[in-house]
Amino acid sequence: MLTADLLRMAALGLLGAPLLGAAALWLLPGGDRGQALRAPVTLAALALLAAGLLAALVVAAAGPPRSVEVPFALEAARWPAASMAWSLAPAALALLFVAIGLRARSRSLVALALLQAAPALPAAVRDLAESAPPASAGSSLLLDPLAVVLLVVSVGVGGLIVLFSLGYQPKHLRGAGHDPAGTSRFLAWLLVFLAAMHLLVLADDLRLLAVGWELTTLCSYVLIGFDGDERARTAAERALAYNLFGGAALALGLLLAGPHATLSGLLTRPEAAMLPAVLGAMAVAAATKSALAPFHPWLLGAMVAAAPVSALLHASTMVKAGSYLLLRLSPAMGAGLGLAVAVLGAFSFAMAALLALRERDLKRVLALSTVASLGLLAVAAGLGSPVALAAGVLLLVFHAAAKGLAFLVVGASEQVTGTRDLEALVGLARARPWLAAPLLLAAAAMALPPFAIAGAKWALLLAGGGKVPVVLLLAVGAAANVGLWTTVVGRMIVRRPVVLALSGRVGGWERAAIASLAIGTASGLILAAPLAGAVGDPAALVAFGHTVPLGDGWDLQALGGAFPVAPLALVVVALGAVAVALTRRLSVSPQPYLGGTNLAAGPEPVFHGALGGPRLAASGGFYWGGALPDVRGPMGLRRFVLVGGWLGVAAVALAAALGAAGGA
Amino acid sequence: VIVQMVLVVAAAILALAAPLGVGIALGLDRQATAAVQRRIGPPLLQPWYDLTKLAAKVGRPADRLLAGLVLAQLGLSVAALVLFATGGDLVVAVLLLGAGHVMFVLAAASVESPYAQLGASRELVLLVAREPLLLLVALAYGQAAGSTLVGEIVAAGPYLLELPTLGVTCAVLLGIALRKSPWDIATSHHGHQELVKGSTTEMAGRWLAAAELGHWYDVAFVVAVIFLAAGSAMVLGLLLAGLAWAAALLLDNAVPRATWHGALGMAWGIGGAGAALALLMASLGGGGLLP
Repeated sequence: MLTADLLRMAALGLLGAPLLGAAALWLLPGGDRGQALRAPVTLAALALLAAGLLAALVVAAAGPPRSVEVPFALEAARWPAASMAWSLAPAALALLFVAIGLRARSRSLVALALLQAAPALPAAVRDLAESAPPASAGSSLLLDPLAVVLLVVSVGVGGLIVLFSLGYQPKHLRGAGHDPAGTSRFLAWLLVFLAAMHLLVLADDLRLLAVGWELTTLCSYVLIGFDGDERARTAAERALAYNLFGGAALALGLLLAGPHATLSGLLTRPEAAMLPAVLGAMAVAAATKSALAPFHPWLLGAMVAAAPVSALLHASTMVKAGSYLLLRLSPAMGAGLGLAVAVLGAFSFAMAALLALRERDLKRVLALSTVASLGLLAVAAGLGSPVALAAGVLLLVFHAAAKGLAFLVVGASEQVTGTRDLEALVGLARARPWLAAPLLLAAAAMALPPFAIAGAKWALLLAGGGKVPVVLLLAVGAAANVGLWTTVVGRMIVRRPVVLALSGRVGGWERAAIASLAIGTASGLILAAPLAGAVGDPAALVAFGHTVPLGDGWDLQALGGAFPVAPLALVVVALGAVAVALTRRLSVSPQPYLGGTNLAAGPEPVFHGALGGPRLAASGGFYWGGALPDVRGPMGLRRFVLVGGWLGVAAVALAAALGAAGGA
Repeated sequence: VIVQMVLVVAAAILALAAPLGVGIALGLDRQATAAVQRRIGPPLLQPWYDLTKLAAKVGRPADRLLAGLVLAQLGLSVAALVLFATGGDLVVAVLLLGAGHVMFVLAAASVESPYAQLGASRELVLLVAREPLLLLVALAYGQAAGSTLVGEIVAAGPYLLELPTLGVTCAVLLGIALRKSPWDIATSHHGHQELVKGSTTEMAGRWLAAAELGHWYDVAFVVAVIFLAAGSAMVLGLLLAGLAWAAALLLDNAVPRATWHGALGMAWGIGGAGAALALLMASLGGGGLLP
């Protein structure tokens, strides 16, 4: 009974609170009073959200890893009206997208929205005709360890991003020439986004899943285009177009799955003839949402949006929805489809990292690095083993923290420095150590052992095992990822006497959010294994029915290998302490070597020029121009990634079709 | 248990002492090169003389952060080799070695000097060139042995017949570790070339010695990876390492310095092909990591 109450509270807090908060923010009066009320209302919504999460966590922690039915006010199985509404909602959203396309006067948007409506409308009609749900129908919402992980990430990281926006967005709107009062509307959309994400994560009924899915598409469209200028509108429409394609795939999956289909039902009926086709359609939908190649351009375009939007899209919601769905389907994929998904993911992992090596816009570097990480998550799902799933969960959690942190720092630093060009930010770590330090931390967490992400990469390399193409791409991608973060950090730490033009300081809300995420990211150094044991292995256990634990006390273990996280963390910390202690009072001779022609004795790299007079020695960064086939080959790397990605998608479709043909 | 602990400690000490061997091997290398080029060459212990002389000098690097990063590089390289020698996970050891390499690139990149910056970017190319190869070699051993733990890999060896193409990858890796041409883009021992060790330009005295020592540990790691092909047959391992070194030396004297495109392409093309074939053979051979 108590459990049921807690679950009701969780559903209310996770789904209701953000919607309520959004409505309140929307209705806030303009002027000073509205502005004064903005922070309390937002904080109240976040507090309710946290309470809901806490209730869910209490239930999840109370028993063995399992899947629990969540009582839900709008239960389709109990209310014929609710059932009708849920059946109609995906089709209604598809029609809404048609209207958006018409309003934007974009033929391609209308066409794609119609493409989505084409399977969504018949599915709605069919569901309405089959109004009586089967007697065995359970709750529409399920809470299991994987859902808990996603909820923690969404509420934790997403909540901090909302906090960050409280301070950031008014300044951003003022900078863009808008009324800062728009912040309330902005926050309202962020909260709706979180609610949509929670619905999607908790949904077992496929109709609810589709509603959550399409709502995240809608929210991302609104938020990317929030600034309202030409660039923002174009980027928003592009994001919408890609996600409509994914939505069409999902709607097709829904149509094929039959009436009253549930995720848990799909996963426990491996003999169903249409199952491979449904899974294939869902995998394609997940790939678009996760911005895997060839669908990555929408996420790159979305970079024009404000920093909190980027952080939300990349770290805790939206793209993670795709990864979530893939991980959810992982046990049912089977060898063929699983391999296709793993190859598509590994391809995205390697190629996005190679593309990122050539970028000097910091936000684009981060965006491509996100695509790479999402590729790795797809590999975790495609490999289809408990250990890979557990590693995927670990990766998902710490990627959310580290990437959210990186985006917030880049946003805050953009407001202080006025740029996000890596070459203009050279030496930032020297000029503003406390601003750059969290970014350096995020880079270390993304690239270096023994941080948790390296642990997950290690497990996936081992789990890739004999799948040679996957392992080859993973190895190349791992190196390119390390390379791209080394490039970023290498430019940040250059001792350059030319000081950046810095103006203003980072606000209190921003600092609080950045500090919290930094602590979460840093905990990856020690908490990798306990977390793998606490959430990764239970998720794998519930998904597969059996598991081989990845977390082993304070260390990780997988497939006959062992990653001694705790001892290595001690070594790294000790090493850092020794390095600091030995160099703190070191006397240096700061004059750089300039071929013996320095003008001054200090650190300034000024030398006697060939024509007399002082000249400044400065070096630009190295961005791998022409390294990769762009300049030399017949096909540029960009095009190569698109073509390869489409081939990967075709392989997914083929594997699904073959599976369906074999089943039938 | 006590015997095991003693063995582990002995292995760790052996790993710490690895530079002794690397110093002599480098001396041999220089003498052999001199012989090929019909010069007299330096004495056998010249690398040691150089290192100890550097270490004894007053150390005044150009920057504190640089000095700290050099220490981090040394420490991580040592940690990688110790993890290897004590029978730890080979893939983890490779990742640690890569982290050490990252620290070195950052150390070189931390001072605004054109030479150091150029050296740093070239080191980065080598980092990206060799990291996948090391990972693939480790995974190929793991596939063949059924575990990525060095202890298990040693026990299940030798792999000469099982993974013959891995030798090609190992020779490429040694060539890169020794910065021999065509992979000497980031460094060079020859004064007439356009950039001599740009990456170490701003290091000095004992800090330069520390960077060099870290590099020796790095070389020792690659040699140890080659030893693995012999399983527990140490003599065979020595022979293989000698062969790989000879191949690298031959290549060094036969092939000019590549552009960095070429260095990357050759590393990934030649080394990657060898590793991919080895992986394929390991997985066809019915091996594989135990679930």
